[in-house]
Amino acid sequence: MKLNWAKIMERLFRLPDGKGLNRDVILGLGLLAFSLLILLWLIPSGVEVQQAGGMAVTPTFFPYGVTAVLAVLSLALVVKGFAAPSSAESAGEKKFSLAVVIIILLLLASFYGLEYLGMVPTGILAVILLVRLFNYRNWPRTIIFAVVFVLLLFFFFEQVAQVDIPRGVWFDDLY
Amino acid sequence: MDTLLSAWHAVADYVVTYGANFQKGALYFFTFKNILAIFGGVTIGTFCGAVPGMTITMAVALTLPFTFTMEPLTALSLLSAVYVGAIYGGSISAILLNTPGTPAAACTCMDGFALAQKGQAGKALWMANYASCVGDLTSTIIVIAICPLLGGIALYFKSPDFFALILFSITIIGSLCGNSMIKGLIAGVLGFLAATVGMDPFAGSERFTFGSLELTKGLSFVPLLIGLFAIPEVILQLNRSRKMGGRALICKVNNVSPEDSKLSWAEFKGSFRHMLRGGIVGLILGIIPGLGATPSAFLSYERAKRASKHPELFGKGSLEGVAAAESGNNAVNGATLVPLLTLGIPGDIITAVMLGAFVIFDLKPGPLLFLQHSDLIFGLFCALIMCDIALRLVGGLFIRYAAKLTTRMPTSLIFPTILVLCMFGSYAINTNLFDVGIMLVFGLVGYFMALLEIPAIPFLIAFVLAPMLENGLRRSLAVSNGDPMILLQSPIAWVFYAMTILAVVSIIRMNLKRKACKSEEAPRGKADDDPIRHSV
Repeated sequence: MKLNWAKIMERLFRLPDGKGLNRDVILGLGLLAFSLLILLWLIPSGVEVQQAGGMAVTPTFFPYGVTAVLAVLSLALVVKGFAAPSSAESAGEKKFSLAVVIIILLLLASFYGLEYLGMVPTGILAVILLVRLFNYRNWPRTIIFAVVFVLLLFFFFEQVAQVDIPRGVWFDDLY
Repeated sequence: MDTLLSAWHAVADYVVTYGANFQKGALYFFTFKNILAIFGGVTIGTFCGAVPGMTITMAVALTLPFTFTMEPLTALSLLSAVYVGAIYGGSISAILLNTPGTPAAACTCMDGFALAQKGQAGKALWMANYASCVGDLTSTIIVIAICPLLGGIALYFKSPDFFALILFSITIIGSLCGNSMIKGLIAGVLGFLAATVGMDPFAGSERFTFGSLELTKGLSFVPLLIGLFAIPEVILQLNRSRKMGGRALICKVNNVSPEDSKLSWAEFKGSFRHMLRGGIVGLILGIIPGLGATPSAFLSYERAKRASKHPELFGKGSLEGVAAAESGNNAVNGATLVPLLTLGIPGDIITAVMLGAFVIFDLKPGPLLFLQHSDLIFGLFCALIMCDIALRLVGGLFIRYAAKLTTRMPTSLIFPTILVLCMFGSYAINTNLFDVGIMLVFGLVGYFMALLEIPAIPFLIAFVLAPMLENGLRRSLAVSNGDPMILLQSPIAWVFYAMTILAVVSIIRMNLKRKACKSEEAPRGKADDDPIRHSV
């Protein structure tokens, strides 16, 4: 007998009413895979086991226990996904959009920006870009607001809190 | 007769020691910078609480990096003041816009906004301010009286007792799970896993560091906290703002002026008993880990409605209703500190952040803190009282001059600044760019958790409790040479196990009840979206 994989996948991952994906089943299976990854690879390769004298349990005891619980809960979520699936509308306004993709890229870029440009220029650029993303259209005000705000923070941390704020590789000697 | 006499001596000793400690604490606290921290903190908190979309946790988390260079008492005073101010601030937008600034103010909406629609926004705002102060002061005074006593009892706890206690506190996670118990528990388990990264406390071996020197110290608490609670909110607000299009305001502004009416003495007097009752309700619910401000506000409101001579006015614009809700939610402020200070366990998300602050200053909350740093503890008590005074003054000024302005603040300016605050704050803790990376990673983790409706609060509580649980368990097993029966030998531990079972049963019952209510409401088309559980 030939298996109809398309039908099986649809039964597995789509809601019974056909109005979207069964998020609980997908999340449950994803977490189950993650817990298996931890149990079979991350713990054996990432936890050093040094059985010292007088120690009742090894350093792997807690991670193994917790991951086993995670696997059980993931299975419970899969079962729950089949028995009582959450509706597709429950996600509401938390849907993934282009703006979200842009802000995620902005976050990643700002991390590298900190290393090369330093905290102040990166902060100013991040504020300007975000203010624009938030639909504020006045360029001069946006720039003045970003510069003043970030400089105020810079002076607080440098002068009051005595924290050496990173200048970045490119501007290290500039200020 | 001898027993009575010795009891009398014990009470007298307690009062004398208490008086001396309180004097020391007061001398330590009453400095210009501590008082400035209190007033500044209440102002920041009130502002953040009044702006819908800014959560209490976000307010406290973003304040935390500014405290690193302060003295411990000044830092803790500032954080407490932000907390107190934020809980109160939630009532301002609840009354003026029918949008609770914080989930705890949801109950205030019912009567507060009804009063505003009648042109009595001023009365409602003043009542909220007075009730917040009276409710918080009532519970704080009782907390101050009992806290050292409980701390003294906790001195007798041994490792197995602490293990049982932490096990009991883990039930907090169950009560903060939100709409799905399984997803809440998954969040908790992920928090436990995240806490295992770093050096093993007993063997000194590395866990999940994969050769990274920065990870040997474990995941830093502050960047993780900031990332988990501030970044997702920025992303979600951006999403909302883009959907609305144009220059987005946080929400529509009501045209009712808060300056239209003042509260009379008779109105204050008529609601005073509800404020006191709210104080007691908040105290009891605040001490129990996991409950917090929102249930306290609703319970206080419900009690006031039963006791009122005019219950028919509740929900239609009753000043008594505003007083009961606000005193109930503010009264938990001091009470949530009881489990933290006496036992070293956080009762809610804010005290989990406070625990992080204690750790930053190399202080270990718990019974020993009363012996080693009694001046700090009693200084903190003085700070809590000062918070109420500041709340009354700052709140009054806020009602007169800033309430409407704050609720009109555009998201396009507030939320971009939060991202930069997050970067500076995460860096400042260890002056390490790696921590900024941690913050950004956990910001994305927090966003995806929100997307998948996995609550972030259980994750953080578990992250804080995990080392204590593991230490308690492994220390007990080391003492007994691996015999797990040691965990069942102490009567104190048994008390906590019984409490754990009771808590689990009541959480399951509560969830079943909520589901039953949800299915009853569904046919009527009502959306059950408990904001409390998603965004504290």
